[in-house]
Amino acid sequence: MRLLLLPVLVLLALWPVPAGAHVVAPGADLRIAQTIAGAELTITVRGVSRTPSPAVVEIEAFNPVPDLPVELAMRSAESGRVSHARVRLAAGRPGPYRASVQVFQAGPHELEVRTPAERSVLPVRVLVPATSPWELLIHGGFYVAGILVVAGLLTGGGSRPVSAVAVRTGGVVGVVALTVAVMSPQLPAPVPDGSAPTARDGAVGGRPYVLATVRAQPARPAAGTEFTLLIDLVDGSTGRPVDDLVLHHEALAHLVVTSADGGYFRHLHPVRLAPGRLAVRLAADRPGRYLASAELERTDSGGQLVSGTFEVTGEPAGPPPARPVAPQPVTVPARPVAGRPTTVEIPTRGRLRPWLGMPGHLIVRDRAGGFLGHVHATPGRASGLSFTFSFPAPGGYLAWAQYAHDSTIETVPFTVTVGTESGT
Amino acid sequence: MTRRLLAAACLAAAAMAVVVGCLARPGTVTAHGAGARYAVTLTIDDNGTADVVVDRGGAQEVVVSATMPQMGHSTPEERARRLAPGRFRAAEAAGGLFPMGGVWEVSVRVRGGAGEEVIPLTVLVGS
Repeated sequence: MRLLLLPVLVLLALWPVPAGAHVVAPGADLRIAQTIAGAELTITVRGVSRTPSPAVVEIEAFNPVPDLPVELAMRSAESGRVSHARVRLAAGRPGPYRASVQVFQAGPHELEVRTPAERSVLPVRVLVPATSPWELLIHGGFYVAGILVVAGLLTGGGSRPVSAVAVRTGGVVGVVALTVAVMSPQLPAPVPDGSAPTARDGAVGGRPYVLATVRAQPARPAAGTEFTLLIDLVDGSTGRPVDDLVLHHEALAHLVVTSADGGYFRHLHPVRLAPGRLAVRLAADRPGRYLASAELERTDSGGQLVSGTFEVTGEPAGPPPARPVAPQPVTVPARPVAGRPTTVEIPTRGRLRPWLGMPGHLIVRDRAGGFLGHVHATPGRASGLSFTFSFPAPGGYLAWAQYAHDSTIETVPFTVTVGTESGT
Repeated sequence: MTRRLLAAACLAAAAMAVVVGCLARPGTVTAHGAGARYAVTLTIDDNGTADVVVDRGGAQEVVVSATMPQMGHSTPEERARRLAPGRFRAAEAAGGLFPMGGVWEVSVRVRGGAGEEVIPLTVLVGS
């Protein structure tokens, strides 16, 4: 029996190591948040198990939903073949809206999302499950063993040398197949078709840092008018555009834009115009200096935060919007201490649902704008959300808690004053 | 008899392993890429020489460069020699296009009647 295990072990030692798992697993859905043409969308591309086959693209819009035609184009980056689909968002109806695009082959694709005013080109890698060589070996082995044993027995069993050889050979093949079957859960899984090439030694050490240039277009937009915020991402080691962003909490980037005084807050998900270039359309209601910070993640790397500023000119576009009356958050302890965990309890309303893969998000900024934290809610009370965070230094902080209920994203602004151990 | 069978099984397994190992060894690498104007096939041989066949679109000039995102390496742009209509070759000097093995992103910049387009391709290059 030990001798029988030898070929299996030899195969195990010499079989090529498959590529590491990609961010998109075979058959798994891909969810991308996009802020496009004034709408906050979550686009889901359903996985496919074979090609060619149709892939369902689902678009969910959050309130307020505009009347908006959306054209989809799925293009293979290897063959250039394109499949088109179209949906029309109805004003006030969150969806979901479904369309179907044809996927002709596995591998890298670009999903273009086009509205009359804006477009986004999203990289999507289609993976299709590959047949496991071990399964072939197991099924083929049992099949051959069965034929040999039955044929050997029918032609004389042990009484004729040829028949005896057939029976024994069948037995050996059966034992090998059985051994592989028993070991198969520990054997390397097959690499899905369409996977990106991966080095044998895998990713070690992460990728270089990202440098970002944030600029408004026009350069000094007027309050109350719509403008484009461009974010150009450059690799710190090569100077080339960074185009290997992975989906970080269901978005290529999470862009937080705040006015210097914190009275203006937006959490947006820029579209991708080209390699290394992200953009979002927005309008600011008051003049002054604005801070923009994008949270993103490169392939095989951790999350990064890149920041920039821009100026808005002109006169305030009307009085500041009245803050909605909402139950105020409760902090535990009541007087937060720098460097010590503080829990913030946020009362919520409506039927909570995950947004960006989490039950809730808390954005924390210091008064000067040099510090930005992004905290995720932990499962807590049924009627609210709970965030725990250690404020790094004493002082005043601006905070915005966000969560989704039904098809609406709620933003709860509040402030936190953090003291020191000795001062409290 | 049983010993002979077992020996034969071992030999067969060893032969299969050798075949599998040879097939898995990185050698010539081929990748396809398509943009809106051009489609290309890139072939990297054992020496790192890059052959570019422009499958779609009339190309007059092809320039290649490579980036290794994991290590932060990039190579200078190199204008490919035109071998025949639609066929180009770059990095013919010793050492080829890639200074080290690993996953490289090759940018193939194609110029022709349809304008200019950069087509990115990802290849795994043996060390």
